[in-house]
Amino acid sequence: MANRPQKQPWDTLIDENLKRVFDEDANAELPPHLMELLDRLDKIPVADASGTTGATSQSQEEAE
Amino acid sequence: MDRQNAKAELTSHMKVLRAFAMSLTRNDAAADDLVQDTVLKAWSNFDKFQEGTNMRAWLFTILRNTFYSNRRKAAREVEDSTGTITESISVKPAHDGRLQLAEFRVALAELPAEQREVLTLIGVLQYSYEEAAEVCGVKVGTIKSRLNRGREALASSMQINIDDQMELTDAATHAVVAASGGTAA
Repeated sequence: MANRPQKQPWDTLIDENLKRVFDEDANAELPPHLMELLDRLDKIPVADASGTTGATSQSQEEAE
Repeated sequence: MDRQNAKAELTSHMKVLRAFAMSLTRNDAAADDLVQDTVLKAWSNFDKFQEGTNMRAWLFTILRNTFYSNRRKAAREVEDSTGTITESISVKPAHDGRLQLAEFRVALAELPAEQREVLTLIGVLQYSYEEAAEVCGVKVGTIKSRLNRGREALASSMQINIDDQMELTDAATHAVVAASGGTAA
């Protein structure tokens, strides 16, 4: 069974602020170059389950 | 999972992925670079993703591994950056113990990334200790320790004495009442 953290009163206040910070970041618009990256994904070959496309090394190279 | 479905799900996680990157880096440009690296690694390794499992957790794992790998490579730069941030911090307590969000962000940025990460996973994303331990690749005890130390540091920045929580709550209430002439709502 998952062990859920026990909260103290001030933990709630801290977590509320953490959530506000995270929500602000999560609601921010993605920068254009990340949107363009998503558009370009289709041009990056993906290895299938057996890894037979032969494109993995190329993709890894781009990732690094 | 076919490519279109993979891309659609990946896209749906992008904003949360970037927010998680921000929780680690506290820097827009570094977070963007981290997300970009993560997306490229994920996309080129989709054959390793098990369909039906949690893609967000998988992406988080790639992102954090990339972050810590990069940090090890650039340890000196990180130390310099941390020093700059530390010097710029000036935290003022608000009358009720709350920091303005901007001040809270500064206090958060002062914490080690490992603590921010756990605070985000548990405090924001509601992960269990076990789930956070799996994502971070550490023991549950380490997660609890990082969470407690992170919260204590933030509480300290907010000038909250954790051992005297209720007493300070009373003091804060009295201060509000006194400041409003005894008619605090």
